[in-house]
Amino acid sequence: MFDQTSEPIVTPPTRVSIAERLRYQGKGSELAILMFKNLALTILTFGIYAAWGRTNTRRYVWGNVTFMDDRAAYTGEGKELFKGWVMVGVIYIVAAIALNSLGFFIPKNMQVFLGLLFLPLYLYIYALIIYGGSRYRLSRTKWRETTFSMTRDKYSTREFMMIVFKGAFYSGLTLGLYFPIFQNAKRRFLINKSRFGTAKFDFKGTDSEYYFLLVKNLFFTFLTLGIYSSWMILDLLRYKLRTTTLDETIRFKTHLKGSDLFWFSVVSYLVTILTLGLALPWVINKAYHLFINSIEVYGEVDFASIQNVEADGSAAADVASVEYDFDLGF
Amino acid sequence: MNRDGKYFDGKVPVSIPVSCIVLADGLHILNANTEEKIAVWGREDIFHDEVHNTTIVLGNRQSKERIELFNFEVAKNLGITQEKIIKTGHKYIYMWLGILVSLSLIFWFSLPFFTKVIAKRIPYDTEKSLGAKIPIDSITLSNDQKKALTTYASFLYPLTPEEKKRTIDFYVSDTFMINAFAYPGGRVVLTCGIINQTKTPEELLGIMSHEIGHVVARDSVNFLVRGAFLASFFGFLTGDFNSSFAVSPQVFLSTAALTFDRDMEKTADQFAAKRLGQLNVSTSGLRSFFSRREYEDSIDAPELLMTHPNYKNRVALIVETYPKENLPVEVLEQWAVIKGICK
Repeated sequence: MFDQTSEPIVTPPTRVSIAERLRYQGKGSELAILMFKNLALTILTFGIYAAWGRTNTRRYVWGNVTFMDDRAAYTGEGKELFKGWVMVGVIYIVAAIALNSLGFFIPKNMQVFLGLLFLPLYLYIYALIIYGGSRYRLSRTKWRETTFSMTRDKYSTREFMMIVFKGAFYSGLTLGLYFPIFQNAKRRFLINKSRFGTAKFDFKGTDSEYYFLLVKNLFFTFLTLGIYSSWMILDLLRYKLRTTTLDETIRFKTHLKGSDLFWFSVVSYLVTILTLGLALPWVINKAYHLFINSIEVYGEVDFASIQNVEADGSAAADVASVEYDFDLGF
Repeated sequence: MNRDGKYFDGKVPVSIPVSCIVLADGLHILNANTEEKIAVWGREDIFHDEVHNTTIVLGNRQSKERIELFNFEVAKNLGITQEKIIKTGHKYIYMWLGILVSLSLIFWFSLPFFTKVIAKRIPYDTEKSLGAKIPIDSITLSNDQKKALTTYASFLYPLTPEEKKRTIDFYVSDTFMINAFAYPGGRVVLTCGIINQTKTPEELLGIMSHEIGHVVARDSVNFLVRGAFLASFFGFLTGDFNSSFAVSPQVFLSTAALTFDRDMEKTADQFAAKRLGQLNVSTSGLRSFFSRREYEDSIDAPELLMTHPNYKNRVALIVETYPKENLPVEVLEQWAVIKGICK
């Protein structure tokens, strides 16, 4: 029974300066046990266990990320993802049957228009998956028992739909030239809707900055036949971190070097091929170490002023975002 | 005071080092720095929060409070074990890896059996209607050419009342790739490449018999069912529902366009040798064709990595299946007409 008469908790001084790195403490062997077990049980149960497997892996990875010596936690449940998986499956089967049946009634030369007819529906679903998936994953992430979240209401959903429709339309019209602006707008929206407890995330990146960064990096990647891609990934990560703040005063940066990322990519590729994929858990674990340990959080914060809030999200959207490789932008 | 864990009140993101004392009435939580009492949790309210699989975290059912324990003795005193934490150690890696490899092998080796069981149950009419959906880009033949090809085909097939129930249609495709395909529903395509490569009527008869072997064994349906099985299996593993729909037209077409496996090719070679033997046609044509291909292809890859058996083994199998030599076939005057299709 909770003792209501207990004395008030003494909290640390109100506003403190921090400059701490995130730490990932997972071990390759532990991740390997999890991944092999998940795959074996997924085969045995014809895919049903995948939801629980994914949940266990996320719990392990999240639980091994610490900040200021305190662990993060993933509070999602296998049954949530399973329900989402069933829902996505049913929707897919119904949609596939409907589309294939329609194909029989429409002349072959008109079938291209059928695709165009379904484009808005596809974009609508895409927007729901991105927004809902991000929301679910954040709502199931905690640090110091305080939940991350993403706000959503009728108006913000409509706003995001407009971003997606406008982005797809102009990207098509400009043969992809508008796409980076679309990506940036999507990220701006999603980050600005994100919270840690009552503290708000804020995205300050501009379209021109992102556009220049992307064009420059693509140019050098093309010029070096792909070798520069490690530096490109790093540059984009730096941009994402640099342009994001929490509670207006907390900022993020990475200490990762392009050369480290390049050599990691080369070695991990070779190791994965040479071991026929068996080394993949160790490679993934190393990647987590490389990326997560490089991130520094700095600024001034008053943790006691941040209140925990309830958060929710759709597991079906999360499942769909994973199954269809949609970049949630995080 | 002992630092047994960290306390989180679930209201603000602040962690407090605590000391925990298990007494009859429950868990007494004290601030490890100030020794002040923070809370007392009743035993019935305490649970092991399994969200954390890397360490033991205790929760309170009445609130959002949590304690991450450093000292697992506290949990032990409350009757909570470490079972839910990820088990470490090499033996667990080997155990799960062993199970994984065994399952994969069982799946792989039982696949042909299940494929055959299911494929057998698919009526030939269904196979025929499926095959009819595959567009074949073939040359329009003149009446003489049609007659010549039909004469060749009917010389080889059908020979039994059972075979008469299933028709086979031959087509010629204007491509210089040296190949022949057996599509579902008894549609066999010979490319100009392969027709031009043949040097005697017996060689062409051998190739046609080989493709008839694929049709009789219903290899395309077997292949299609196996493709559907594999696609569905991996689709379910990865949750990709697209692949689970293996009989969507696109997947169907791409699957049908793939080559058969080595066992199917061996069986088709055996069928061809037997069929030629039945008709008193020398298998030397088929053998010489394969020997020439071996020389021209000059592929020296291990058989395990190839879709077809290597040519040496194919020739040996034909000799083993039908060792007799027959006189060359001279009755098939249409040989020149067929060769003329691709000129």
